[in-house]
Amino acid sequence: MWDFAMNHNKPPRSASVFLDGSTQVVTLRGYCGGNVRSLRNAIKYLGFDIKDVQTPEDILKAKRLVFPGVHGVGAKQERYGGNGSAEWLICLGLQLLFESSEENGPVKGLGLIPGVVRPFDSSKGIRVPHIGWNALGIAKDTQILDDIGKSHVYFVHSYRAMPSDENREWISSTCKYGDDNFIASIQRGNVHAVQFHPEKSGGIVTFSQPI
Amino acid sequence: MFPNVGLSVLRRFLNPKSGRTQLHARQKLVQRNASKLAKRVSVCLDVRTNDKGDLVVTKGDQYDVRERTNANEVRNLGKPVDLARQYYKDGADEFSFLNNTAFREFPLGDQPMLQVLRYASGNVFVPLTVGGGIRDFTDGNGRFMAICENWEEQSRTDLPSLWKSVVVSIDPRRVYVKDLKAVEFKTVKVRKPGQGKVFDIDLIKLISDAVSIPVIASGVTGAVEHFTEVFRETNASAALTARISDRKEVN
Repeated sequence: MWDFAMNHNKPPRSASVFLDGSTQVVTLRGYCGGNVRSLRNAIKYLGFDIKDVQTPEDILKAKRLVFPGVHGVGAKQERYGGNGSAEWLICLGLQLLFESSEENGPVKGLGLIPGVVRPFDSSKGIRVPHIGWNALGIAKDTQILDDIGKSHVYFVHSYRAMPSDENREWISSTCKYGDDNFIASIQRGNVHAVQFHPEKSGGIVTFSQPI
Repeated sequence: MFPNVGLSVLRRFLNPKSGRTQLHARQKLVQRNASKLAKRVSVCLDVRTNDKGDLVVTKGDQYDVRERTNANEVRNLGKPVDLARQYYKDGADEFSFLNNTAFREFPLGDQPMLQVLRYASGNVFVPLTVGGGIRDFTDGNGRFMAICENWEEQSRTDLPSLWKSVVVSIDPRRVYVKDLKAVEFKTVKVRKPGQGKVFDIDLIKLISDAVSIPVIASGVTGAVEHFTEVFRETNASAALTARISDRKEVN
């Protein structure tokens, strides 16, 4: 499934994390420098070393893989397909896992989770983008959300995936904005993805731990 | 409880063996109702280069940031990264680093400011915004860069999260006109920024009702009740203030 990100005519400046035996090393797979920096800083701050993904094998070897999102799947593909000049990274790890996105598209996603990523509707009286600190409605007892308590988490996005009967088993939390109760995080097995920004300033992050 | 909720999510992913919170607390979590989008208090750090070439956080009356002393030095409220780190610990929701004067020259050449942002992002895990200089630019060799090229160029500097959203800053003036004819004779009275003691509630209400994007209210204020008022009376999503941070006038 990672081929989607690797298959560009120019290798992304990038980050993928892998764990190497006993040492605390995280493999980071990223699209571009800017957005990933704050995530790198956060991982280092927590006492982990980072190893960037250089080859597809690095991904297979990784025990912890951090996959930062990008801002718009379509824009990103186009960028790499073009002159590869600037990467407008930012937020999309979670959205990438769905069937398709209307952001800069429609474009196909990885199709792991049923559903289409669509924009918030500002005609319904909500401000778009959804920027700021919002609360989660916890849907699943998942360890990474253990400390959330009553705290809010930081979002910045204009597109969102909505819960449905088909994707319900993936959802670990939702967030309410206007009439929308969109998907804020997913968890299944060792795969975690969040729509919010755990590092508070970088992109949206998708995590996966190879089984 | 981990001090930073966002970092705890990351830590729990990176180290799944860290202990779980107690079951009854987790069950309570599942049952609680979702709340709504919170209003943000954004801390504005006005960064200038002083005469020694160091970047300092300053505060001024419009563009005059110099002390009224014989030395006439740039008012120095502290080092940008140290202050940001302190206010992050104090609970600031986000930061805006503004350098309106240095960026006027050549934004891409403002390496000290970019360095400040790099250091800040290593310690401050809330959103950072940088202000100034995002505009069309012609360099010394006559090379023209359109606003978006300028932006793109800056985004290559490997900055933290600066480019995930664009904030447009408007510095409005309330203009009082006694006689429409007076306008032609340029005798319009302009209220200077910085003279108002509070948020301009009417103006912020008008703007926040007119657009569907988030609006950040900016005002020269330091009092908690001013924040309460602007959030109660208008649809602003956030309020920005320098005084709260620079002088610790509000907790």
